[in-house]
Amino acid sequence: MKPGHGRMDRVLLLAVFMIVILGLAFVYSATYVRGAQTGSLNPLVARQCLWVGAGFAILLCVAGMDYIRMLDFAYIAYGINLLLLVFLLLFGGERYGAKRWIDLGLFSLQPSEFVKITVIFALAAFLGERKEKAGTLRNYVYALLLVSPAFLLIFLQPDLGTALVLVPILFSVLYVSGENIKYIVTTMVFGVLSMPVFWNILKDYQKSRLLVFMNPNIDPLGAGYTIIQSKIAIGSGGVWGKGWLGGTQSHLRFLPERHTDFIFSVIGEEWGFVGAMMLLGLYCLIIARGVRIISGVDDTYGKAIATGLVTLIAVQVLTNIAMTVGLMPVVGLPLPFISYGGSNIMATMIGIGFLLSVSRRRKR
Amino acid sequence: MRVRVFVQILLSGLTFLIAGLLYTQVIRHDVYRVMSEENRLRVTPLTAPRGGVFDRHEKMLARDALSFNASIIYSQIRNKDALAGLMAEILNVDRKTIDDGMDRCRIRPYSPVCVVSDIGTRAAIQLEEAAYEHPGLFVEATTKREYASGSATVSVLGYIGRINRPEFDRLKHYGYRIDDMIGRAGLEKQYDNYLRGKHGGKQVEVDNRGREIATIGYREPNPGRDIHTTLDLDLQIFCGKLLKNNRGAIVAMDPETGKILAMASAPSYDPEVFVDRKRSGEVKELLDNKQYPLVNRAVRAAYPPGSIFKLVIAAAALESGKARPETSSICEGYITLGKRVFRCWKENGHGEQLMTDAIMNSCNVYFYRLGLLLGADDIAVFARKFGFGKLTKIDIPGEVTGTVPSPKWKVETFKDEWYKGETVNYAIGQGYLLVTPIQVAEMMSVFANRGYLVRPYVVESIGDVRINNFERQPAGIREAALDTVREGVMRCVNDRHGTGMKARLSEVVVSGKTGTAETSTGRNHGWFVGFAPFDKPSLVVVVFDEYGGKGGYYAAETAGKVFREAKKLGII
Repeated sequence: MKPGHGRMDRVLLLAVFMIVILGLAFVYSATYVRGAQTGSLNPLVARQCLWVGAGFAILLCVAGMDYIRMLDFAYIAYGINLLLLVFLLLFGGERYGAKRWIDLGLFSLQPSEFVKITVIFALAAFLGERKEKAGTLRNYVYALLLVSPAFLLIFLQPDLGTALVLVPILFSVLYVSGENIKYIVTTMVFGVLSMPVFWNILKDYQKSRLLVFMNPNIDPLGAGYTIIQSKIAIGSGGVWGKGWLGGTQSHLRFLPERHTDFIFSVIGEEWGFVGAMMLLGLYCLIIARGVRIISGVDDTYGKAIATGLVTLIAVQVLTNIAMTVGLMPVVGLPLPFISYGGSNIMATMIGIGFLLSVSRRRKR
Repeated sequence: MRVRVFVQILLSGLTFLIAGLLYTQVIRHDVYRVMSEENRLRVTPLTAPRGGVFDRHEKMLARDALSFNASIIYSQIRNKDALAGLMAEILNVDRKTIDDGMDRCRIRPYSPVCVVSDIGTRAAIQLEEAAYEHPGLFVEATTKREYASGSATVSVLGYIGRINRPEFDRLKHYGYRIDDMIGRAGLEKQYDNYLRGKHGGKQVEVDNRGREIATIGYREPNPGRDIHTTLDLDLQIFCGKLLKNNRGAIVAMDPETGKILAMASAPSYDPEVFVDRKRSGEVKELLDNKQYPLVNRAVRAAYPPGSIFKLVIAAAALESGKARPETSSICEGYITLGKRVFRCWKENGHGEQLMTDAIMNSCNVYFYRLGLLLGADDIAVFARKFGFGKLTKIDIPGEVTGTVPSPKWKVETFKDEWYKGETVNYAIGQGYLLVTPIQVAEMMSVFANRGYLVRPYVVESIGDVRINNFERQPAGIREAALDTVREGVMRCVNDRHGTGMKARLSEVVVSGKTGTAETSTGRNHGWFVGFAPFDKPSLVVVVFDEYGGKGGYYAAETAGKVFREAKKLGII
């Protein structure tokens, strides 16, 4: 089949569509105010609908294009993104103690969400161009150097979660693209050994989040509050849940950040274990289709892009759910497709668009 | 190959997630369900006011008054420093008290905890207004016990205090709450069940800031029931004043019915000490006080009666036929028993006396002889007939029985035989014999009402329901015997030489008997017990003067004042 002219993965498209609709339902529930005037849609939900709609449009556009051509712009996109991050550090206004948003009047842009995508592209472009040199130390070091400015700029915001999510993306792309595994393992070991140094760089609230993860009862009204309330929400959901719009933890506002990073707590509370499994099932379907695309494509570019995107989604799902259940420290990572937030939705949709585009260049 | 490893890593992550969800949502579900309910639902207690206590003219003695507490919900505080400063300023208390109070609230961060109690209406309004700008601050309306005449009625009413841990564990199944007030003495304790209302409660759904979203359940509080007593507040206050600078007790009782009109004990104390948190320091002082102000001497302590017991001896001798009114005896100032000499209080003796003379003069020798005629066993039998040695069953808790000794009792208690000399002392109310002032009132009532042992009581009705506290039974003494003694006590006060002449009044004929009880400390208790008017007695008064010396003086004079006041108040 000619490159760029195969059929895109419809199952993946359908799964994404379903999960996005599910996401809207729960953003609606998380922002629902009991007794509020019916008929008027919560502005947050309306915005999210808008983002989802726009996201789908872009998704379909991107999916229709040939990603190999788009890769010409990979370094430029990555470069602009890095510049935005530098701009943020220099001129950005703080929100919640971090410089993450660029205020554009109507909405605010979160460049760190887009950098997750552009870094994958830059990496794919780099590895694809130099696929003959795959496995060499030089290639490996260059790849690390390519990614490190994004990592550092996000870490300085500070946004530990997003910075850390780049690490598994980098390693999985390098690994699947055939880089030397010895180098990867060595870097990991080195990274673990340098943890104590990292600890001292962390901001106080980040340290306390990590400490509270070990024992949420250290400070039940402060940093531990979110974890405790989230665990209560999810645990009280039980097998069947309290029903959509029936969650008491979220509707009585015990749960902070319930429409963004902690939206899974609302799902767990209202739809229970069964609902959580349904959601996980949809994610598994998306990831399984993604893996199928990875193994189905034979050019290094496509493989790297698909691996990066699948890792991005999988790591965010894993980390986000694990942190709401208290299995991981609270790091500010959204639940892909579901959490409220324009930048996140748009970036993820663009990513899926590329995944679909790759799916059209299958061997068989 | 590398893709497979990649997939395996993803799958292990998935397994980890499913296991976590399974543990949280299925295995630990019950724990979190309860926590979620606790988050969501709050039971706001609606305190039921305690019933009031009233005297026989419906004058208020005690009641629950509205009071305000400054409380906070710790988790809702935004600016702790500003809030503490504001509270200290409005409530006019020092900053440290507020800070300490707030620290206490950390234990229950999601529910209101009282920081300063009883803040007054003005401060309550000011705080209520400030609460808009200071989330977490609440003004709670509660009740506070008020006693109309504090220390004057405390011996009867008792006091209430916050329930303590052992009490709570014992009583929690009867609807007591951890912060409840519980009657600790007097009527407050005896009738706690009735005075205490049934608490209501409001189960509300609240959001994370404690705002009420919806009311889920409501149970109206049931106020406690009012108690109507037999007390006469004016006489009660009067008696309290008489005792002011002394130790002792006064009991004023209707001999026909057993209604207590006044009962005072000294030293006294202010019952509000126990409900006012600011005065908790005074509680310790009360408990440590070596004069034992918390002991209601009228019912909770027993003393040797001294000569007032001679009335029992006289009645016993007459009733058992060992003596007759005209039995005469010559007092030479002493009698001898073996080698021992027992003296009369009058060194030169009273000369020849009939029974009423002996009562009037309180002649020891006459009664030594009657005692020897009766014997210790018979004295004990008659002492019991007059109500000594057992509870009067007055509806005030903590009553003691006192001691009515007998030879058998002595063997059982001291493993020792009874000596004749002890019988001699017994006859004049000395030795092992111990009585309470309320028992003395009961004894005197037998003479006053011509033959009935009445049960003293304080409470007439609870709410609208009259309760039958009236109880009397024949003492088993013939009227003739009683009449002789009555004549004796009449002369004792009204005869020119009577030992009780200090109780004499012009407006009403008082009859009575004095007593001076020797104690091992060398200081004597003074007693006076009397009734009035003579023809149809409507009041018995007992004055017990602890370590007060000779009963003929202070105790009789005090009793006279009580009778005069009672006459003035229309009681007699």
